[in-house]
Amino acid sequence: MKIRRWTLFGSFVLGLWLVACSSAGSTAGIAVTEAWARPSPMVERAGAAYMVITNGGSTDDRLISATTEVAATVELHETKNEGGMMAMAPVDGIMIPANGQADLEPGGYHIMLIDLTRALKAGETITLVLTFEQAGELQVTAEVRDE
Amino acid sequence: MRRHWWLGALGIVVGVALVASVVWWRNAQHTFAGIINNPPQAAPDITLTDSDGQPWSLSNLRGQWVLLVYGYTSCPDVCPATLSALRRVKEQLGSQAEHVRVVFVSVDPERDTAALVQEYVSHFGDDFIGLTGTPEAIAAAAAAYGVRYEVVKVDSAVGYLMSHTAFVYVIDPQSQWRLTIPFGVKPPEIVDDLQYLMNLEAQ
Repeated sequence: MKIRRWTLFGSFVLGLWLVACSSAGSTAGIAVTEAWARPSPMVERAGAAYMVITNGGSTDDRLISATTEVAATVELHETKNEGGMMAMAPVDGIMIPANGQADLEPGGYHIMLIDLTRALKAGETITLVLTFEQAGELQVTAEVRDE
Repeated sequence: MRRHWWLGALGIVVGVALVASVVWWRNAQHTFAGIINNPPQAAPDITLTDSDGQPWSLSNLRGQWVLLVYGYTSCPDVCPATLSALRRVKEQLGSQAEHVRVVFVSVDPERDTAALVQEYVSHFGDDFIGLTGTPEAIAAAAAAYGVRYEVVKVDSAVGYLMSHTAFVYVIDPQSQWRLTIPFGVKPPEIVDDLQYLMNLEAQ
C-alpha cells in the first residue's frame, strides 16, 4: 500500500514536470503559459501580448524587456483602474515573485508591440523573446487570437 | 378510469405552474452586472462627425439598442478589450443582435481622423460606428455621459497616451439610458443584462 502511494506521488510529480516542460517556455524556474496576442489588423496601431509567468524558484525575478520579429519596438506597460479612469503607463519591469506568478492580462500588465512589421491575424503564432533579470532570455510562442 | 383522467390533468397543472414559477423566479433574481439607472433617464443626445465628415447624432439610432463607448485608436489594451467584448456580445445575442449598434467615440481628435476611427472599429464589427469631432464637440459628448479623459505624456515610442474612463453605456430604443457597464465585465454577463432588459421591453 505504501509503495503504491509513493508510485502515485512519483507519477504526479513526473506529470507536473512534463506539463511544465511542454508549456510555452521555461527557464531556471521561470515558465510561461497561456501566451496570446491580440490581432492587429492595422500596422500603425500598437498590438499587445498577454501571458501568465510563473516563478517556481525561491528568489524573485523581474521581466525587464522583450523583443519580437513582428515589432520594431516592444515596451512593458501597465494599465491601472483608478476609480474608473483607465490609466496606462510604461513600467521598468514586471516582478515575478518567488514561488508566485505575474498575470499579464487586459486591463493590467501587458507587452506592447509598437511599429508592427506586419498585420497580426487571428490563428497565427508569433515568437517573443523575454529577458528576465535573473533567468536571462526565454523564448515563447504566442497565439494570435480574438479574446 | 375517471380517476386517471384527474391525475393527468393535475400533472399538467402542476407542471405548468412549476415552469412558470421557475421563469418568474429567474427573472426576479436577475442581478445586473452593470449599474442600472432606475428609473431610466433620457439619454443625452450627442452630435459628432462620421467617416464621411458629416454631422452624426445619436438620435439617428432611435429605435435600436445602442452600446456607446469612448476611447482612442492608439489604445492597445483597454479599447480593443472592450470592442472585442462587444463583438462577442453581438455574436452571442444571435438574432437579437440586429437591433444592437455599437458606437465608438474617439477622445483623441489630434490623432484620430474620422476615417481612421471608422476603419479601426470596422475590424471589430462590420456595423460598428466610429465617430470623432472637434475637441469641443468631443468634450461635450464626453461630459454628457460623465466620461473623463486626459492626455498623459509618457516615455513611450507610441508618443502620448490617454487616460480615460472605459464604461459601456446602454441606451434603449426609446433613447433611455438604462445601464452603465464597467470595464472588465465578461461578454456572457453583458448578454444576460441586455436580454433581461430586452425581454422587459417585449412584455
